[in-house]
Amino acid sequence: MTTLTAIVLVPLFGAFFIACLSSKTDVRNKYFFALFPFLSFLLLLGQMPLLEENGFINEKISWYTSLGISASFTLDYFSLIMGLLVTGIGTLVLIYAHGYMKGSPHVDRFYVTILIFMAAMLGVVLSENLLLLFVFWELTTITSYLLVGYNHENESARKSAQQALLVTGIGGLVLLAGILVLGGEAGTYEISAIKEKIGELDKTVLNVAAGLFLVGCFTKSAQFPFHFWLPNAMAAPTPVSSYLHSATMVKAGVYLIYRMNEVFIDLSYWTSSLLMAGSLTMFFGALCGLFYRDLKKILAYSTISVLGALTYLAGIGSELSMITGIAVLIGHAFYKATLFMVAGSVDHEAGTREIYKLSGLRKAMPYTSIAALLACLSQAGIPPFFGFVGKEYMYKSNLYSDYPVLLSIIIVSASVLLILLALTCGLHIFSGKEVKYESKHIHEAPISMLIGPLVLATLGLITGFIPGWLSENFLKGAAANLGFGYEKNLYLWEGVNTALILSIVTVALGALCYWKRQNLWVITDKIIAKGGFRFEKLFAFGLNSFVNFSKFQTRVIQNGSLKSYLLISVTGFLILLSGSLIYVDDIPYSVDFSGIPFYHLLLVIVMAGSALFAAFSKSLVFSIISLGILGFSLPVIYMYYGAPDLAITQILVETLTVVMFMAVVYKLPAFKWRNSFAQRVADFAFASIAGFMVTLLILKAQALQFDDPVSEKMNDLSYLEAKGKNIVNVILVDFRALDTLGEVTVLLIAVIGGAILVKRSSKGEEA
Amino acid sequence: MNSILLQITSSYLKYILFVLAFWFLLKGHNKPGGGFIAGLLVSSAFILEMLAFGISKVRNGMFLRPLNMAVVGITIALFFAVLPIFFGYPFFQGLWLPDFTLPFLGTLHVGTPLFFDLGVFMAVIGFVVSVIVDLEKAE
Repeated sequence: MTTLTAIVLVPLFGAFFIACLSSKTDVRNKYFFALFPFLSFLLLLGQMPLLEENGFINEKISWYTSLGISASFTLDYFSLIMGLLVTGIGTLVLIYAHGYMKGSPHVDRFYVTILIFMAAMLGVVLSENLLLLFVFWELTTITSYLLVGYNHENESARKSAQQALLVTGIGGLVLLAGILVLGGEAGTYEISAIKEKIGELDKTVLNVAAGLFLVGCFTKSAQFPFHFWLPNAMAAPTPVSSYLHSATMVKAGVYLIYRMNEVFIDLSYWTSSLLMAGSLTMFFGALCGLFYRDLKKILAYSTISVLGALTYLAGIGSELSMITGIAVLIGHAFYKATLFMVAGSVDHEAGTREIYKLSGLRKAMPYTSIAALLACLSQAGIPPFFGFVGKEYMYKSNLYSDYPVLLSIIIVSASVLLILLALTCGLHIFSGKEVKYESKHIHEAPISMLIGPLVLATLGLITGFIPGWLSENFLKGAAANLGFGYEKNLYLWEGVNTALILSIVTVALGALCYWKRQNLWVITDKIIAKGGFRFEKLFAFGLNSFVNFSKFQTRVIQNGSLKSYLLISVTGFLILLSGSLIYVDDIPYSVDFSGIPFYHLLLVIVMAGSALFAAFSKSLVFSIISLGILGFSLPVIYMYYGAPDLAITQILVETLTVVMFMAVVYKLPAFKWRNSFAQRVADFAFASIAGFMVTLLILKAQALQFDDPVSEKMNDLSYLEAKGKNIVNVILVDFRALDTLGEVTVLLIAVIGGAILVKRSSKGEEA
Repeated sequence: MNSILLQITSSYLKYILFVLAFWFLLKGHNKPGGGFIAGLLVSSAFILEMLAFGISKVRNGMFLRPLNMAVVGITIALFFAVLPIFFGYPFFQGLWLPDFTLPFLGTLHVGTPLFFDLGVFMAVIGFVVSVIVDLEKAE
């Protein structure tokens, strides 16, 4: 077990530890839960010297080599930055949660889930193997679902959680398809190995894979037109919003886009999709933010907007734009997490998040207001904050891109709106007159809820002064890891140039908007009153039709009659079968009966006779017994062909089946024919056809031999590699042990299902 | 059902079946047998007991509830599937102790597949017995 694996496992261990602990005692002081992410943070920092020496660190644990699945982790500068953000902000969020979640019921569930999420997120950014990445990716989706629906008594929280799960979950499945397409073409799932093979890959396949990746990443990172789940996910407790839905999880999509950009960069539609979706998302995200009066919703839309910025920067695909994207990502994590926590504190103290009702909080909450001010200035892109550096270079990237004028116009106008949103959340509610609130006397948030915002806001300021150091030590390395090495450092001040002039214009327009904010709100309120088209409605419509369709097909196919189940499944089997029977047409119609001993004939007569008897008998007991005779005759054939294991199993299974049947029959009402004669004739015909087809299949299977039988190879290897002389058992516990494990698990699931059924039916009778 | 013959036979036969099952479980790697067959044998012993004495005797006689037995079995199987990873081998790679000799038992070959089979064995018993218990409960 080595360090990278440990980094991922530490939060997971923390979750396990808290789950065990909470059932025993009620922990008063939950500060120390923050130690788990902090330990991962320190471990990551500890890797830095090694990273500087080697350029990257790789750890690989073989898992399923023949399928190319391995637990392989890579730490390079890009994943280091992401990892430090995940663990660092994670630590602060857990400290914050100590104050925020106090008194909430089942608070330990919250800690357990968020720590599992943390591990999953670390897994996403450290995974080298795409399939491993997918597993962690889905784990973030599931934990996000649980966290959004944390207040599960609240119906809207449940609905939002379901929506987030469906959008990101479906996107995740699409991503899996993309991973399989790409990995299948490249012959490996290791990202670095795929990158080495870019030139050899088929363009069409790459195009398909790129499209699937785009859907996966866009749903996760709330890009247009999949953006609607993110604002609804604000039903989550604020620490969750601040952590998952601004600083980390929604960045997973962006992370993957950046990671794979080198692979897909030559496909024109990959870059143009990123450019279009990204810039649209950036603009409309900021615009939509104008229409909301709830602090958290406003923050959610401005998050969507910045995610759009990150996406289109990847779409530009130049060295400059990629390093800018990483810088914007860091800056955004700092200020947005802060603003969310501030919104949470305000909500906690004032009891409302409506911007109309909030004003003049600076006196009651001085430290919170300082953090908010620092963060919103960073988001607004005022020097010397780090947000300014990000925006400055964003403008530069636009100017050097293929569409300088168009992009500049979109991005500048989006930035103006973002400034307005930032100042609304960070300045508006703290300035102005003090107003009376319905809730009790308002006071400063507790210390636990101040640490996070203050630290992060200060970081946004400090990093603004040292962009050169930051890019020397982190950013340049990260960009190089992504295949977009950039030689120069980033600077706060690069002299007067076009980007700076655009920045000044942006800030001036933003300030103007903020000054006239009341007028803007009046206008937008009028538009809201008229209603408008929302993608969410389209989604709801799609979801409803899907549910209705499922209900319809369940009624038709699963109508509760065993006979129709049998009919449907056998029919399906026959349709598939006839396909293969038609395509290969060398069925030997004559069968060679010579060399078959005469007592086989006897066996056949016994079996056929008992089958017929079972079908025509008027007593269920006799039917079962004759079926048992049929079942006990089969092992004789197995024995004759030298398969003792199979014979033993068949005898035992048959015994159990007959006994179980008897146990059930004992309780059934007396037997009588329920079907008309005509129907029974039809059933007989159907059964005969099925039997005939299966006979054809067996004949054909014997005639065809595509390859050497695998059994010979297994026979050779059995004793050498698995130390067993009984091949059947060696196959079960060694060669095909994974299958066995799967089958045994199916048994368990069947038992659980059966237990529930029995419980239900006995409860139903009582009622 | 209350048959003295069946009751007395089953109480002896039960242990014979157990021993046979144990034998099948241990020798399964080289001779006919294995965890699955052994599990079915033990289950049939329990069924015999159920026929003779009724379901409550079976339930009281098991040291684990059948469903828990299945869960424990799968956990054991999973554990020994994952174990090789900690020694730097792929998932499911068989690990074998060096052969050693014990008095009365002779030379033993012990490895992870045996324990994996033990897990399968327990899961099968748990499965069959819970199904029977459920069927008995259902009216």
